Amino acid sequence: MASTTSKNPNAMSGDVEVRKLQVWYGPVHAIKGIDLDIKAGSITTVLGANGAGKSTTLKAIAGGVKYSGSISVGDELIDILPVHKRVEKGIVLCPEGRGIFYSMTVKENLLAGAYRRSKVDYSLVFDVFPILKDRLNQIAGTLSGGEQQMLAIARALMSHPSYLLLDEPSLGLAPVVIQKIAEVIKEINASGITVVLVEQNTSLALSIANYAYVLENGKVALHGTPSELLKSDAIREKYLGGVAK
Amino acid sequence: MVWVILAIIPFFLMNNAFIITILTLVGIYTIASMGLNIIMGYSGQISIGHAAFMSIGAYTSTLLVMHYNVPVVFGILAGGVTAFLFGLVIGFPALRLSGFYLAIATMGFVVAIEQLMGSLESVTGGHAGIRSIPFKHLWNSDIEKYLLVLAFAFICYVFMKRMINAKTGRAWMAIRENEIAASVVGINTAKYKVLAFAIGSMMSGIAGALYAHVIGYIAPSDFGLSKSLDLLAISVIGGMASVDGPLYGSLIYVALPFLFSRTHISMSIVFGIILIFVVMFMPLGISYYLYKFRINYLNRIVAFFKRGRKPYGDFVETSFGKMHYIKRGSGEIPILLIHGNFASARFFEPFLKKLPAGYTAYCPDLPNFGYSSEMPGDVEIDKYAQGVEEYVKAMGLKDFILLGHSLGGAVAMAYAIRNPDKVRRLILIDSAPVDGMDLAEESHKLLNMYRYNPQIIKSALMFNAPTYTNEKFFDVITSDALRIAPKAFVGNAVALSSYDYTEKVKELKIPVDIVYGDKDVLISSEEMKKTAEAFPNGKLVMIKDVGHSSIIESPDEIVKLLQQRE
Amino acid sequence: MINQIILGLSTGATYSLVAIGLVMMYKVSGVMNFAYANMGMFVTYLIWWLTSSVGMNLYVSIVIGIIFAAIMGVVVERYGLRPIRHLSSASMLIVTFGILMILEGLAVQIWGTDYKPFPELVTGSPYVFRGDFGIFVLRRQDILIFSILLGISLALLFFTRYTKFGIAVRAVSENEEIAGYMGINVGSVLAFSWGFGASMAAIVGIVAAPKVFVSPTMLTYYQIQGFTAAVLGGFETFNGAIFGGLILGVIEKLVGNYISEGFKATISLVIIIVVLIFFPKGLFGKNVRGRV
Repeated sequence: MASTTSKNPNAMSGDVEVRKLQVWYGPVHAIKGIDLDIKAGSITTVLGANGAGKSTTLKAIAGGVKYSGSISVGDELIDILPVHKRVEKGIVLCPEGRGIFYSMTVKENLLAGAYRRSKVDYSLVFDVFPILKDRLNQIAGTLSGGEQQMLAIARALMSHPSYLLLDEPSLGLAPVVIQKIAEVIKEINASGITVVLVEQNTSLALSIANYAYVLENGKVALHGTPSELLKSDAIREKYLGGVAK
Repeated sequence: MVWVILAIIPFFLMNNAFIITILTLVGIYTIASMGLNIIMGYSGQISIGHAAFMSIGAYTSTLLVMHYNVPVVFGILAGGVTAFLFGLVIGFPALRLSGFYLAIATMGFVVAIEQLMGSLESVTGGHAGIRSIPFKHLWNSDIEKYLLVLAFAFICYVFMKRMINAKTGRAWMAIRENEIAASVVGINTAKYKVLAFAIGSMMSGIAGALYAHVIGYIAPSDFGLSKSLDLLAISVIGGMASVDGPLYGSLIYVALPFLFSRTHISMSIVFGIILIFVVMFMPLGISYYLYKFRINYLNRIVAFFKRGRKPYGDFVETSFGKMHYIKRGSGEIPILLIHGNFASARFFEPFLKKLPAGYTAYCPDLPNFGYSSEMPGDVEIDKYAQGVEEYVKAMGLKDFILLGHSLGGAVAMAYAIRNPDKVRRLILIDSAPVDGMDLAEESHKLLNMYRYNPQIIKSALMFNAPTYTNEKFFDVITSDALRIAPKAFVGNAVALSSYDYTEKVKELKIPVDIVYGDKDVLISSEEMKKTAEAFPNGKLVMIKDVGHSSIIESPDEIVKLLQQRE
Repeated sequence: MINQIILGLSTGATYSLVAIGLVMMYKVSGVMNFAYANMGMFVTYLIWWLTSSVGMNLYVSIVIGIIFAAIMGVVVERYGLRPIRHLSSASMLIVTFGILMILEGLAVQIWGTDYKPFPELVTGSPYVFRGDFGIFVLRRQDILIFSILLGISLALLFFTRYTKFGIAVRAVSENEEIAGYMGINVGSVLAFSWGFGASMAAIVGIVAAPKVFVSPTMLTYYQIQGFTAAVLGGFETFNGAIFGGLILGVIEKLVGNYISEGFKATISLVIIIVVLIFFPKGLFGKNVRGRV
């Protein structure tokens, strides 16, 4: 993929380190202290059952929830930065359930994603999602599920992130579309963007990730490379439905 | 009773008609605000049109009294009924509206009523209003007005309290918290919401009618949007979901101008600031914070006075201090009774009265309790058992029947395990189970509240002895309970969750009776079964229709049991 | 008849302006501002004071007033509402009641309750058109209000469609959390919505003042009508607010001719209830979104 994109001058770079992350939703202790190491340029996936804390982890990295603990990118701590500043620095979240602006057109959605950029540049997005070029003036709510997911990712790309956080992109999509999304994620990663992928679809995630964390009840239960995890019986039984080795 | 005092006050203020009128006004706003609390605080529907119902009540009563010579009291009642009906009328569309939209609709309502009253000149006197509304009085009109308002306030207060504590109130609160959940559970949300509106409006109507007769002059603008907002502010500041909040709110509302009479600040500004402050920092209103203050501080004074001071038994020296106890009877067979949490030696009095001949009963206050010394260090069941050992040694007891109630049951088990040769028979009454009793950590704060709240202790004791209703007895036990060592309030709960004698009791060969009442709320029958099965020689005895304190609820059964096995 | 309609549209246009402000504040911050009327009233008093006591030029005072309104809106949002956003919408609503009371008290305190006169912004004889259809009269004030409404509508249209910040406003209205993830500074958008709303309230005050005079309750009725207009329009879109207001103005005028003035508020109440019950999306609204 040729990207003649203008680089994000404010973007951070380096590995993402999450240390002793804790998140409380009122009295509920959603994340009970987790450590993550996300290597720059990798696709790191966070797996786990519903309610294990995966989305919350992404939201914490994006700055959307209050947390204790520390998160640093490169060697810089980002804890004091509010959400919009993190977007400026290249950390962008693509939320769960598409989260596009259904009443706005595709173009307006993309513009919203490019909010922090001084110059709006569609080239990266059109490279990865050529289909959106024809749909610019279509109302986002009328797109198909797969197209909406692509729009969501595209919108996140509009800010030229260095770190793309994807929350369950495969949710509710047909297998064919999921395949396409997987390819897209690999393509994005190939251009240098670090991807943190939260997924319930474990086999999908493990097929494209470089490294994986498994959360259970707000804590890291396991982590390792996909091949290491696939060897684990626990993983196979719990998350892969006991698929044979 | 507070109400009697309130009724007498005006007679002391006879020279000060002004203050009487002020108090009367407070009463009027309290009534209106109680109605608003029902609508907003309890059933969770917002209304900024409440003054409209005052208007309806006021005009209804005024017109009836002035044109048809209806006696004032009936006029007021008619005003209440009319307002009730209008409340029904508004209550139905209100079902379909919620939150902001209901606010808009009720705002529209109060302005519409104001405009309407203003335009029906022939009937209502238009915007100029009605003057010289009569109030037939026998002697002193100010005092009589005050008493009339007080009477209605009393009736409304009692009525409201009854409703809140009954099924209606619970339905309202369920609806307020989560309407969908409430309807799923089977509550007819429509009926209760409309009812809330109607009753709340009725109270407002009564207040409005009273206002008309007390002040003697009404105009549509008296009951406009700003009055509605004032009422809302009174409710919020006083505490929306309370029955006494309206009084506090009204007091502030009426007293405010006087506090600021020197300055020339407009009351709206001050009241508005107070309202915002309360919403931001004291959302539950004054009544809640007063309640907490009462619980945390005022009750301490009460507790101080209610604490028992006179020991009623004998003392014996032990290695850690004194132990206080009572002894009854002079029979051959000794029986040692160990009381439970929040109790003391004389807890067993109702049973001791029925003690058959042939037994001598020994009831100590456990260390940390009553008039016995405090046991140093952390609270543990085994330590209580040690205390019992000391007592037994000091009293020279052997071959006795050991009986333990509730926490005392755990202590009895611990003692029997440690000294099996001393005990011939173990009777456990509604005892803590053999593997401990877990109490959630959140309860710890609650437990410390017991320290200064004799009322709560007494309620808890009575709740756990539902069929023994001698209140004076519980007053006495409570006065003993107030002597419990501070660390033991939470300490006992921790101790109860930190033991497990399931393995150890396997060695115990003596006969054990595990007695429990089937209405015991603290301990389940499964736990009792488990406990009975843990003892090799254990027998489960269930007593019907008594709660957690079967030894005083049905002492005869225990006596029967006592004599059975011998 | 047609003149009645024009007059109705003229008042309706004022209601539309009120509704636009209310809708903007509601869509973005999720709170219905019941202190709207008093915000407008207070600024109108300020402008009156600047022109009559301080002797400033009317237009300069108006500009100062509108700026003041915007600042007031921003301050109220930032310090009065934002701290309790997480609590509940009921709490925020009650705060607006508090602001309402404070502003009314302040106005009475500073300027008293006498009605004050306010100069017309445009003077001169009305335009009269004669023709086959009869005579129809267009007063200059009507032209003014229609122009203001048109101007603001176009500005809003342009703003929300073609400017970055306008898109940010729409994004926050639709989904605040996700708008944040786009890098939009939600706080700025919130502040803007209230600054805008307060400014609209000021404009309404300025336009209405010549007719109703400056008094503490000058805009109360306008607020009610503004809410009614917004409800008619569905409280979702600015277009709905605009048309809701215009339609309401016409209805009010026509009804007022056959029923006495005293029933105007009752008619509004009935409209509100009927629309909210039978057309919860308003006459123009699209989807019903519940703000929890």
